[in-house]
Amino acid sequence: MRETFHAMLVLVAVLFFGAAEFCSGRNTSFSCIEGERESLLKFKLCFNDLSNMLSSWKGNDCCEWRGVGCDKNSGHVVSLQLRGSIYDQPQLYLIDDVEEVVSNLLKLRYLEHLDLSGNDVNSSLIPPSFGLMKQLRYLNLSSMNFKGRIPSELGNLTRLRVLDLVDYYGGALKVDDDIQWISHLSAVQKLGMSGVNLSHASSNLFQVFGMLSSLSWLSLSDCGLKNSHLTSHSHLLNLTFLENIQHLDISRNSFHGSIPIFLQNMTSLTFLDMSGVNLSLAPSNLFQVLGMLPSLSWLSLSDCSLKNSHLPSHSNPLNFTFLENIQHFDISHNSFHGPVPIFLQNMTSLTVLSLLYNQLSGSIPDSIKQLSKLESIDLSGNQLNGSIPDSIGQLSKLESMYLSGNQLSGSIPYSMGQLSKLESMDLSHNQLSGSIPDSIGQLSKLESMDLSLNKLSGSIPGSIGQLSKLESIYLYSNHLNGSIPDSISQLSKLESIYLFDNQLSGSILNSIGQLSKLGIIDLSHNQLSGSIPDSIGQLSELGSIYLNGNQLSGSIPDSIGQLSELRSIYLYDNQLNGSIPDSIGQLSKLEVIHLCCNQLSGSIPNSIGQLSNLRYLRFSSNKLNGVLPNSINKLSNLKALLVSHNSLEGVISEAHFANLFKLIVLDIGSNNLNCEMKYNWRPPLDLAYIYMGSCKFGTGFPEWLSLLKTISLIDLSNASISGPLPESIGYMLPKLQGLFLTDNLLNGSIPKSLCNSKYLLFLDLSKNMFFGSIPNCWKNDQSFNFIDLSSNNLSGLFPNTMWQFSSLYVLHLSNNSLHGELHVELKNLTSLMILDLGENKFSGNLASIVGGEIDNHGLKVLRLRGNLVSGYIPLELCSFSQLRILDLAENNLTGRIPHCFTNFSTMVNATSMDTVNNAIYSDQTYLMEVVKGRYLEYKRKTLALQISIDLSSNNLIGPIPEEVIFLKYLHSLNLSYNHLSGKIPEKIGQMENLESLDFSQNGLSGMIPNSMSSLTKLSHLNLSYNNLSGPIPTGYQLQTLEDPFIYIGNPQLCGAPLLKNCSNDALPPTTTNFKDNDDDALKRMWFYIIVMSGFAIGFWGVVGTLILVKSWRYAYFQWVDDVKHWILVVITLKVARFKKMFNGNLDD
Amino acid sequence: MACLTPFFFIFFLSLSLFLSPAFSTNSEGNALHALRSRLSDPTNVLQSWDPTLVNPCTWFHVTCDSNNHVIRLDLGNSNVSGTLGPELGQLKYLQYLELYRNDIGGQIPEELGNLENLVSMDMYDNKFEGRIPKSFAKLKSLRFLRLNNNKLTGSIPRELTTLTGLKVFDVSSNDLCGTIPVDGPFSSFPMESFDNNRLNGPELKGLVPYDFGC
Repeated sequence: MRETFHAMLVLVAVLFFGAAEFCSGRNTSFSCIEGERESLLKFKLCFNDLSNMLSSWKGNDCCEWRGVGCDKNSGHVVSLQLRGSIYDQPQLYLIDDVEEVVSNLLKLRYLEHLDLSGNDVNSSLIPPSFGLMKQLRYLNLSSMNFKGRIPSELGNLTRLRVLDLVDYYGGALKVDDDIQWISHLSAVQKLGMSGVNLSHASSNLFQVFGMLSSLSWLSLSDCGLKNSHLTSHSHLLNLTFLENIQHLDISRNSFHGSIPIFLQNMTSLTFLDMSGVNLSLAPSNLFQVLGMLPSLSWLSLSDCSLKNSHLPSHSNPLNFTFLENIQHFDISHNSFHGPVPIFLQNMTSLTVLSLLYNQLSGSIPDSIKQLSKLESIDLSGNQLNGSIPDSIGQLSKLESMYLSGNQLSGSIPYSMGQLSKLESMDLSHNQLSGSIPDSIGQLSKLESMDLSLNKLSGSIPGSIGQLSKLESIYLYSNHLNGSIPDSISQLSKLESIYLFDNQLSGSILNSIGQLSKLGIIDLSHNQLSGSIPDSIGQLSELGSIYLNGNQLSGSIPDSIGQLSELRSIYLYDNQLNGSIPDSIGQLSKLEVIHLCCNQLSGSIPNSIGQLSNLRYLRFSSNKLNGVLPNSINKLSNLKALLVSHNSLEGVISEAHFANLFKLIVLDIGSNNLNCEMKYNWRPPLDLAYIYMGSCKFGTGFPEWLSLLKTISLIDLSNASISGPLPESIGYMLPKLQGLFLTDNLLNGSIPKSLCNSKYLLFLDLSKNMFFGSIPNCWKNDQSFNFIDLSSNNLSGLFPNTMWQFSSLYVLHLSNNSLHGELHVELKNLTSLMILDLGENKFSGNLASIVGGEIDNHGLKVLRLRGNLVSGYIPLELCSFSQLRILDLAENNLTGRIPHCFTNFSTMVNATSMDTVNNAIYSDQTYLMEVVKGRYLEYKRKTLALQISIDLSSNNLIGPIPEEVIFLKYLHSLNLSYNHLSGKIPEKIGQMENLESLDFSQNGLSGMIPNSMSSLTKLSHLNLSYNNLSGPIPTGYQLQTLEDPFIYIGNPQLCGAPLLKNCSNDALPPTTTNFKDNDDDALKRMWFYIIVMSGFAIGFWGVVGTLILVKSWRYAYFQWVDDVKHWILVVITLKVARFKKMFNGNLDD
Repeated sequence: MACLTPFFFIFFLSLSLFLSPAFSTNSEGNALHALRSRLSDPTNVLQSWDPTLVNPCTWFHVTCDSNNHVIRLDLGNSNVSGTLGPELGQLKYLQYLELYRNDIGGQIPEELGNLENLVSMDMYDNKFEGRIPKSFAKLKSLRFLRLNNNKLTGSIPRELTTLTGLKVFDVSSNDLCGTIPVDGPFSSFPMESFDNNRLNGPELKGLVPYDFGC
């Protein structure tokens, strides 16, 4: 692409200067010929001149019209220079027949120079009548959206020196087999046919070109040329042709194999572009062959499938001329690997070096400094490592430097500041570290700086303010800290700033308002604080502003309404407060506004209805109150309306949605709203996601939902919906993926039609009053991820057809009245992570429930709490090695606790929490667990991280297995209300993450291990009602657990916090640093004496203490010394003051 | 089925995008979250502090009472560093503030004096500096105050003598100056509680100011 573009530039430049020369010769003293003037006016009428290119085409003197050139002697029109451009130049659009255009031009019989390039003829054919303009010497029809065959009549234009038919769109123009007409263009010097399909041209194509004896410039890029066009007749090629051609572009053709053999005879060649030609079979002396071309200075072999074997080597050395002459050298997009080729250092004429997208490794050689004429270097997309050599600063002519996408490390060399001509610098996507050198401020020509995606640290140097030409600055995704330098406001040409994803702090400076050209500013994901400056309203060109993910506070400035060009504003995840300014309604171009997750209060301004271009509105998770303004119904382009998690109140009715025909996402959940849509309401029919949780309907299941044939998600949790679900819901909403109806008053049975919901992934009907049995018609083409039917009145047996959902992650059926012997078949449920069947009446033997092929199953939560499960705890249970929560409490389990719990590898060495699970433990998932003595609802992160075992309220016997101490990551262990005996494991202190430990109501005996005091996270402990004995250990965390109820019911325990003191023969607890005030009775006694004595500050008390307590004695005498000094100082001061006063009086 | 898995994640992701960031309206949760942002937590002990939950009661190292008010904060020996902020004073129901054996520095916020239910404040073995806040005199329920092994300076506020319930008071190994109070509960504290400071022995009222030598 880049190569074509270069070729284009050269071409355009050549043509432009040619034209300029032509026009400058014209003499204005002659007015134009009337007939020609009329023809020009007719010509003008053929076009739609939207951009007023021909606006000057009026009045008599057509020689004065834009683009018209007349002969200075005869006054005839000799030149038409009407170049258009698809970008920013004026452009003509053909509205008439192209034949009409030519017929008018034919009347300009002296026309020699015609340039219509870049205008649009709307896919017309090139009229053969062009061939009648025999006087033409210059014809440019490039990029005019012509199509079809190039007429052979063009061959009649024998005076042509320049013919440009380059088609940048490519492929629409073609020549057929007969190309003989080209050979008639005997005067042609420059021939541009790039983009013209020549694939059908006869194979003697190059012979035909060879007949053009004046030809020196030939552009045939992307012409579909094949090997047959090149090689078969090469020996027949006319030698003059080969010797005269200076510029040859045969890039992007379908040749393959080797280089055309005729190249070696092209001794005048200075420019050769063969990019995009497959040269994988070229001989290893490729560069030597090219080196024979004595004048070659511009060479592109980009994307030629070249390999290291093609590089010059000792056996194939490069000749000196080649190394000396080449100025532009492009071997990008090949497969060169290994270090940067050494021969480059001898190419001392190089101005452009492109090595991008190879697999070069090693460091950038220091010898790069020898390429002193280098203006552009592009090494991006390789695997270069090491640091950027200091010597790069010596490349004093460098204008652009692209080193992005390598593995460069180290810091940016200070010497970089010497590159005084540098305009464009891209060092992005490397491993650069250290701080940005101050010297960067010396790059006075710099227009674009990209240092993003590195590991740069430190602050942004203030010297950056000196880069007066800077237009864009990319520093995102680094580790930059400190504040944004004030000097940045001096960069008057700055159009874009990307500083996101750093650790920048401080506030956004008020002076930012000076950046009058700023179009985009992205400071998101930093640690910026303070408020958004008022001056932001001065950024009149600003189109996008990203300040999300900072710690910005204060209110959104009113001045924001002045940003007339603003299209998107992202301020989410900050601490902004105050209300949303009314002025926001003035942002007429606004398409996206995202203010989520701040502390914004007040009501949503009514002016919001003026934002007619708005597509995305998100005010969720703020403290907004008041009503949702009715004016919102004017936002006819709105696709997403998200205002959930606020304190909005009032009524939502169909009036709000009157014109929101394009709405796809509606999120008004978690407010205090009442939803009072009429039953026959016609909602926006594209609605695909509805979140209306907590919006009170007070009706049955809304009927209008059945109109939404494409809806994929419905969340009507906690919406006071009652009555049954439509029996046919599964057929009614065929695209449904998520149905969340938790916490309503729904009753009736769960519709069987849900078994036909092919796309349903999430089904949450928990906390309702559904009764009857769970449908057992589930099909194996359903791929549920999440099913929660907990807390209903469901009865009957476990629906066995559920055991086939291989993608099911979460299954909650807890708190119903399901019964029957349970057989957990986890064989197919390979994805299951949470199995919660608690609080039902399931029976059966635990050994047969969890038996079977469950080795290394990924189950993370097994909850059978509160059922009628019996039998012993089988060893197989321990094969759930990923288990994080095991809750078998309140069943009829018997026997001993097995010794295999150390197989729970997550509990033994929880590595980092895997984030994938985080997604599973989403909003919808919760689990009730008894932890810290309370029934707590674990959700999201706390559920994802919780690790606990609860075997309480069973009939377990025997000792607590010693191995339990290896469950280092356990947060909660509850074995209470069993018949456990023996001692508490001596090394229980190793369970360093325990927060909640309950062994109460067992028959445990012996002493409480001292190690328990090292459980520094413990906040809930219950050892009551056992047979524990001896002193209660103390120290660290245990000294904060001083509720006697922890230990009650153990008559033989003694010590604090129990009132019973330990007798002397009880072993003293090994304390850590807890200083018991019992141990120094003597000192205390003396203290009492001091305090109680009539000598409150008395002499004897102090002296007595001093006599008896050595440590005090030293302190006291030290103190007496100090007091002595103090008294002296006080006296001296008073005397001095007195003297001064006295003297002062005397002076008066 | 397998091809659905990535979709599932995207779905869940979008789900959490739309639904999740409901910052707890609970001021105690906010206060704790603010504390988290001040602390550096290399061992991720605060990982479970999810501000999107309705209350912080299931966060690790946080304990609530039956009304979901935070009564314990147990971050002893947790390898955290950073500073404390005034927002801790919002934990009105806090009874146990356990921050011992960490690397927390900076001043002890005056606002901790608002924790009127506080029974135990353990901040020993940290890097706290500055003065012991006088506002601690408002902690009428306080029984344990351990500030030893920090870098506290200034004198022991005389106001603390009004804390009649104080059973344990340890300020040893700081850089405190002045004299040691003798009134109220201070009459019963062992001298080790004051060791390794620049304290000048017991207060001798009337003779010299208690902050003499500071």
